[in-house]
Amino acid sequence: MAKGRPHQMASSGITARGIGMTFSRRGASTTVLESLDLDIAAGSFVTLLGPSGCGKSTLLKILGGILQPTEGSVHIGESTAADAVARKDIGLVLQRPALLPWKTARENVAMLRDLAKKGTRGDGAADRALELVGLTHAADRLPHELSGGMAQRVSIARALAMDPEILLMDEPFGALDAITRDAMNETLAGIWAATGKTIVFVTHSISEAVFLSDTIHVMASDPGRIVEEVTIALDRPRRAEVLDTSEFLTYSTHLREQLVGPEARV
Amino acid sequence: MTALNEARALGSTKAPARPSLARTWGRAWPPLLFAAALVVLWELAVNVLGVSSYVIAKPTEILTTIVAKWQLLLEDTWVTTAEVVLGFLISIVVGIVLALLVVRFAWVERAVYPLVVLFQVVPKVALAPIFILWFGYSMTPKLVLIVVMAFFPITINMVLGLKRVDEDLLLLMKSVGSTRNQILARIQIPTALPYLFAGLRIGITLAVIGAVVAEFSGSQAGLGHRIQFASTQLDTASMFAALIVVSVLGLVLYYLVGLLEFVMRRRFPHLAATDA
Repeated sequence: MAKGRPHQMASSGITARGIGMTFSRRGASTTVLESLDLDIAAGSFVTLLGPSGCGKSTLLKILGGILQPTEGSVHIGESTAADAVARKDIGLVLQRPALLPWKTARENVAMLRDLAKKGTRGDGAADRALELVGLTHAADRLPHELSGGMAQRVSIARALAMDPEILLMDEPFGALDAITRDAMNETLAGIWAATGKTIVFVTHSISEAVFLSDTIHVMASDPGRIVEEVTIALDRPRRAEVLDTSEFLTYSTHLREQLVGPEARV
Repeated sequence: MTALNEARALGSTKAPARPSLARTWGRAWPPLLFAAALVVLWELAVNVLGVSSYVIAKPTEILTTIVAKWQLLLEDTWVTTAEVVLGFLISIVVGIVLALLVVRFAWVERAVYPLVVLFQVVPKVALAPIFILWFGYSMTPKLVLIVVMAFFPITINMVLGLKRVDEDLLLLMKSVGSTRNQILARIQIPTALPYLFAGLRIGITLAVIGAVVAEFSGSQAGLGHRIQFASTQLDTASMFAALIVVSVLGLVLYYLVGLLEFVMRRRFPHLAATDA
């Protein structure tokens, strides 16, 4: 898949300054994120890694301009995040595929692109996106005829079909079994290499984060903040075998200590 | 189609099962046999116990009455069918439009919807004489009663379905700046279809009841009128004959709704989720 970059598309970096997010309900307010700075280079694969409830999903939505922070600002490329949303430059992949059950894979992929008025209807963008995720053969299937992994690949194709500058992925493989998950990680690495998209990826799986990322931002809770930035220097393209190397293990061990503290080592 | 077969070959349990003729028959014969036994028992009981034919008609008597008075019954059936079908079509429009307004405009949900729900405690059958008073002996009071009875299950089910939005889909739609009308048209309405059909199934049975009750209260024709009239004549066999015809009418209309749902499955396969 990574032959040159045949599907090279637009891509931008993200700059976030002083991000704070406070939810208030019935007088009581909860600070989810506090004075957070983040720089994401154009075309890089960045992961937000942290325990449940540390605000990583919230941060992801703020970085993509879908959620407005109570403090601070986000810029995508040269413009504000809100402008990027208005330009439909944000691709979103969530934990569940959220496909329309009455539409085929191809129609599902085309739906958001059509709504966003990107390109012209039936210009083949949906088919190209399906090809990128390796589902050309399943284009005419309905969601209930797809496996969990295939459905999630359709939802990735749906985001790619919009040719967004930023691809936001919120625990996209969290609901899949371990074997499918490993296969999906390899597929995603291939897609990233082929498209050169900036991908911001949320997970609480350490090995997934190490396998995929250029940079991992380790988060902690109460309030949500970034405690460490780890650069993963493993060679690319990465294959499943990299999981067994000592460098991989070194990264994993370090990240685990960051997340749960050294006392959790057995 | 090949994809569907493939999915089934792979052992997918999610593929909708097609009802085969053999399976339908396999499910249908036990209740049919039991019904036949009851009819025979009925006939024998009336004969053996010597019950007066004013009190209860024998199945054979009812059958001969249906055969003898088929023209009259056909005219009544036509009148009642016209009322039910027209009234039900109006109910569908009223039911769906109200549901869309409730979901689309918060003030309708807050100001109007509670009153509509509250109105349901009124025994609507009791409104029939009032509608006759207002609209006379024409078709209008029948239609009004049918709509008053049948629109509500359609509305309440449709509202339920429209509110069953997938939060993730909503987020995706917002990420491309979709309008509320786009979300309503592309996501909410198709999602609500199985709920709408559940409401239509209840609505059509209520529509038949509405028509018969309205005819009881004042009419010159229709199967409800036939039952009422036969009652004053102590013509029990005719009462039962009209009762059976109106039951068959209700059954046929109910299955027509099911047929419509079945046909729409071609376009909206998720309708298979609510199999009859």
